[in-house]
Amino acid sequence: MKRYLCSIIIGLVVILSIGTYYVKVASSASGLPMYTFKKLEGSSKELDPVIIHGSHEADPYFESLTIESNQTTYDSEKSYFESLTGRQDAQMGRLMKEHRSFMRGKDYIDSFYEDSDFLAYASVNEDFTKNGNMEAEFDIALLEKKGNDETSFSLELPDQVRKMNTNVVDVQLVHSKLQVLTTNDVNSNDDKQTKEVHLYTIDLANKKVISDKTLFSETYKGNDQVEVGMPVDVAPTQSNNMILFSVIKGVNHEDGSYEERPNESKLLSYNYETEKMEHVKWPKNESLSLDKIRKGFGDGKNLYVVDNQSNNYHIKTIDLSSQKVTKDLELDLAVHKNEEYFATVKNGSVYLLLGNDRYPEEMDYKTKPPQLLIADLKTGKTLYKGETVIQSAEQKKTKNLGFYVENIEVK
Amino acid sequence: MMRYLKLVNFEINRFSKIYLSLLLITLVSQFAGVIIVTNSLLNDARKIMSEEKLSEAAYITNYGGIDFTHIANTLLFQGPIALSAVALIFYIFLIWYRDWFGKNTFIYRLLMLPTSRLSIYLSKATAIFLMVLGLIAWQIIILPMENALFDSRVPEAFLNMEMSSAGIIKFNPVLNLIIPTTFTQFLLSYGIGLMVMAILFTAIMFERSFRIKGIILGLVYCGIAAALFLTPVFAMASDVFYFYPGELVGTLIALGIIVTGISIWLGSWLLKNRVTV
Repeated sequence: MKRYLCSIIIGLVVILSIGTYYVKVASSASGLPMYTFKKLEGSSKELDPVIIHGSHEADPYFESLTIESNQTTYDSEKSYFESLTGRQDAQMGRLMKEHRSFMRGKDYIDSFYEDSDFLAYASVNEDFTKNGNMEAEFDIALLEKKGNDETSFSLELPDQVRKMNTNVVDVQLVHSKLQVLTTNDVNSNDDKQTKEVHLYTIDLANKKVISDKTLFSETYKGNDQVEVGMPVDVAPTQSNNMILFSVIKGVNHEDGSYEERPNESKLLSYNYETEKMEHVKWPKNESLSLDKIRKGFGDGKNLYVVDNQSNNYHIKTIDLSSQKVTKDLELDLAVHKNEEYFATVKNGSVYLLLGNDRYPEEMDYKTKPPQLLIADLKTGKTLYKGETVIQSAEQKKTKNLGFYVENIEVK
Repeated sequence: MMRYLKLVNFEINRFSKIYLSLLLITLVSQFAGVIIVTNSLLNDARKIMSEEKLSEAAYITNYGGIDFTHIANTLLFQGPIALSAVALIFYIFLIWYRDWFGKNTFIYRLLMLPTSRLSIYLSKATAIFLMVLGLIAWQIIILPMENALFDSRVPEAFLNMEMSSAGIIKFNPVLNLIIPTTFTQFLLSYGIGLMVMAILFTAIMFERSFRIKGIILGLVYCGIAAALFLTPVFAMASDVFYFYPGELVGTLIALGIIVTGISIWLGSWLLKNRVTV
């Protein structure tokens, strides 16, 4: 026995030390505090589809966490295999679960179109050849849900010599033709730059690009800048007649600062049915800056805009066809300076989450608990109101206790 | 079984002097590191405070306090870890070649033993693996002590925070590499380590069997094993097939087990039938 002493000691030390270490690591995660929403008003049922991503500030590092259906889960509690997937958009997660084989290798929710019969996908695959030229092609895929029939093919991107890059921002299926809306940067030799928005129509039966329409093109030079963006689509995969995009113009000053030119910036809408492009205007007397508008939420008919100019938060509805503010609802949520808000619109409700004071005036980090308000989009009536409470056995042990909101999602 | 254990013990005893030195070097160097680096950090801080006439609080707001990450990034702390790693990688080769080139060609007696050649192969692998884990265990044992020593030597005003062992490991790339964050990652990392060791052992067997030609065969074998193991990664990189993350890891684990199995089988087969003394 004595002869084996060396090996036995090493064996025991290995098992005991590594074993205890990992047991301790695993159990320390359960010592983290749990955040839940305490109901102040309304029905707790409204919380079920709400997913909030945030982090708990525990010295010396942040622990990422997710509150889903009012249940806190820390990323560090997840098993290795669960954490492999990373943080995922709820809609992408659902599509991957339902159509695992079709979704293989596909990403970006804006590249999808879904109705009861079809799931369509379009993206642009850009490759650079050795002599620096771009070779781009469309990757198109269509899933017929009933028969579970998958078709996929690639098509050459028309007129690609001109383009520097192509971004798919919306996909629609109109009269069994795939409509792919892209934003592009255009190649040029001089100091001019051009931004374009293209609409490609793809014939799925004959696997051909049948049209390439330039919806918008703006050339600028020097220090000017043009950005094309989209207000958030409430249901990016669903059938929509109308798509909105904001064109923001500005100038980069010599000293490195950027100044927007609000008078030249605009909001445009395109109607897939009527194939018409329109300039969206709204009454000037409404205190709605373009900045607010482009952070709005569109559902194809209306644009919903969160307004925090008055004492309480407001949600304004702009009807896109009549270009009027049809509703201005005051919500039961007070506006505080320095407070970040996170908003989303889904299922006919608006979800407003007030984050913490990240940069309070007097550097006084007495953070207020985040507040969540769920209100009906039509009436503005509060469906749920609540604020986070902390449940922790070792609350006092952590020096700097704080919960920071990163974003809110609704299933 | 008993013969296998005897052989493992034998191999460990043969390396024990160097092994104990490695443990001792790590202990001395890291503790010295804690003391020396802490002193110099505090001295620097006091110097700046007196030169710029700053109070402790003002110094902390301008320059920040210190914590264990400052220690863990120094050569005195990481040097012995690197030294131990290099020593054990080197010993993967030495554990075989010392038997051929050492005094009175020990391999002759080893191969004459009335035991299967597979146990000779496995005992050498086990010995090395156990010693690697022993070093990791040693680091896990001494780290909290070093941390406690550090906390006791730094005045509270200068201390950013008292860190836990897990926190220190998470923040230091070298420590995080040798002690992964979760137990699953630990198993995966050291599983890959085992596979690489089995592949190297087999390459050594090729060399011992066919000498010069064997070196080429051994290199080719390493290439084939690596290519086989990494097939799904190549498939994904060249857009041939997309794996979901879980599938990718699952496939890699399966391929890793296959590659390790083939390597052990081939290595011990060569040892049994082809190796010459």
